[in-house]
Amino acid sequence: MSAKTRSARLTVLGLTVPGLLGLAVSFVLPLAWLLRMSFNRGDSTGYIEETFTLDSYAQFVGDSYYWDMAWETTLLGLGVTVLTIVVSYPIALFLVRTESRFKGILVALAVAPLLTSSVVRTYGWLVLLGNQGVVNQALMGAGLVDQPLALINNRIGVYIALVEIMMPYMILCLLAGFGRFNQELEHAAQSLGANRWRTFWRIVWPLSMPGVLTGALLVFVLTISSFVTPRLVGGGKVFYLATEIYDQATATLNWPFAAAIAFILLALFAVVIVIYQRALRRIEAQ
Amino acid sequence: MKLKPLAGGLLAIALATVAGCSGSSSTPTNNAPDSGTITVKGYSGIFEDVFKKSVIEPFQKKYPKIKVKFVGSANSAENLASLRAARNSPDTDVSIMDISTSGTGNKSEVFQPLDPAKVPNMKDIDPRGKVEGNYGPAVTFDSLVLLYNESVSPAPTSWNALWDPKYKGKVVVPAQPDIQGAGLMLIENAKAGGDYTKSVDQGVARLKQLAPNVQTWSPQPDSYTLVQSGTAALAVGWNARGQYYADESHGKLKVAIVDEQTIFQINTINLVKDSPSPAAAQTFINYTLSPESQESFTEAMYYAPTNTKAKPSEKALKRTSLDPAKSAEILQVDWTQVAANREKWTQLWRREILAS
Repeated sequence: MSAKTRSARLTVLGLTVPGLLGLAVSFVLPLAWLLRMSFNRGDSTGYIEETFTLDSYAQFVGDSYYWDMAWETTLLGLGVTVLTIVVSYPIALFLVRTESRFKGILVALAVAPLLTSSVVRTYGWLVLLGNQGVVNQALMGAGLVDQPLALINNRIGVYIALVEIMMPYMILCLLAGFGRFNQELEHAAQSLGANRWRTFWRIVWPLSMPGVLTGALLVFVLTISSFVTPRLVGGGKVFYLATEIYDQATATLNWPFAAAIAFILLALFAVVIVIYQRALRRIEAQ
Repeated sequence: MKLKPLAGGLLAIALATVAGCSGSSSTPTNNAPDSGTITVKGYSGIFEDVFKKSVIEPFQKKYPKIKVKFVGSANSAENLASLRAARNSPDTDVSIMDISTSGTGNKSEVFQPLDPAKVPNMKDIDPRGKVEGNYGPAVTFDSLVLLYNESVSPAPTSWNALWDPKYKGKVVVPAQPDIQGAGLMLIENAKAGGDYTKSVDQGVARLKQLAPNVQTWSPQPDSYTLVQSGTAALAVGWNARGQYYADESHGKLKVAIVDEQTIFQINTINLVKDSPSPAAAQTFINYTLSPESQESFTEAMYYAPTNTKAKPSEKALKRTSLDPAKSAEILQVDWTQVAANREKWTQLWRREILAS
């Protein structure tokens, strides 16, 4: 190895040290502590016995209630991801294509919700979707329904609020992805006789896949780990893994069980990331 | 993979740093100075506002050398969870929480016993509020009541009003592990002839029938706000807060003290183990238990006094859970038992009541 490459490597190492140190302290250590906690035994008063047992994992695996919860969580992640793509894609496409002189402002507006905390936006939805909220009042005023629709305190509300909260992330990913292709390809396809529909499905959609996939991964992971929105909008009637971790940690105070569920959720993330990387590789190979 | 040894080294350094930081020194309880700043953790929101005004402010006038900082916590479980998380280097001296949760705190050594010499008012506490081993005693008594919106008439006189089909989708009950939900279950269980120390099946069956009427089991921001705004018609809630909001809302929210059994809610005031200033903390605890402070808090927020020597005005007392006319209606509950069943009952609720 030449002296030059060695010094280059040292420079790289030197530059990564602060980041690695930060990660070790803020991520690896807490995770190690959490893993240790998941092997303790928690009793129902919230008392924690220091020991080494797989009880918490066994409690999860041995109970169909928690399998259902994991399934509902996965469904929520998939559902919110698909809906977010559907509503964000046209917006992102418009933002890329528009020649309006307000383009900058429009992009800023699309991602502006990120400036507000999701707690605030969730409360916003509670107000909008409630029995006396704008949506129900409008529906009733128009004579479409005579009783307010139950749009909060159930799963519907959780989906609506989460899709809106996830949209800016998806739009940002899509915008970055769209930057990769050029409109000449569409003109070429159309000049060869493809109609708009065919052009979209054969040219635009496949070329935007990397952006879609990155957005999907981000939204899925953020959705299944979000607990504020499902908790506030769910009315105590819907339970997901993330809300369960929160409840176990702060309400029933069974930290070992909360830690075990956290690791199970982490395993779910790992599976999703593996799928994402496989899909990405396949697309890049095409 | 040349990174590995380096990363290992970094981890070791990081571990050493963290270990160094958390090695706390415990403060001796006996010769700590009776001055400085103490941190008190308790319920946020209205409790915090009134407690600051009617307990902390007068205390600071009397003990100018001690400064009291109040930190709000959404509920007792969250309060205990945060104390437990900071156990290696406590930043809190005194914590006010429900007795079913403070029992866990005592057992898991998050709290330490009080020194009877430093907290002489402890001996005058009502027997229902005394805690074994000189751990933090009761500082407030409260009871479960029915809250209703002005649109509801006539005024409900029984818990049964919650089951009235008229109020479908208009009822709010904070679910177990919140003790308001647990309390309603215990009341209904007893009413149906059950004994909660053996089984709560009868209470659960009753609440299962209530489910279609319930708008939310997890009111945001709380039951009082939903009833006051008319989003909900009926809710279970605590008497003291209910009385306070009834005044504040000019009658939009009303409180019904039903003609049936109810449960007592007890808040204890506890000394955190390895508290940074234990002497000042106990001076403060003693003050909150004094007749003077108890009367002041009762007049301001209708929590019933726990000190038997406290003599609040007749008018205020009649609006507390210790209303002399009502005291026979309290259902006896062993909160240690309730705590021991917390997880079992929570699972039961989830599967039997909330899902339906």
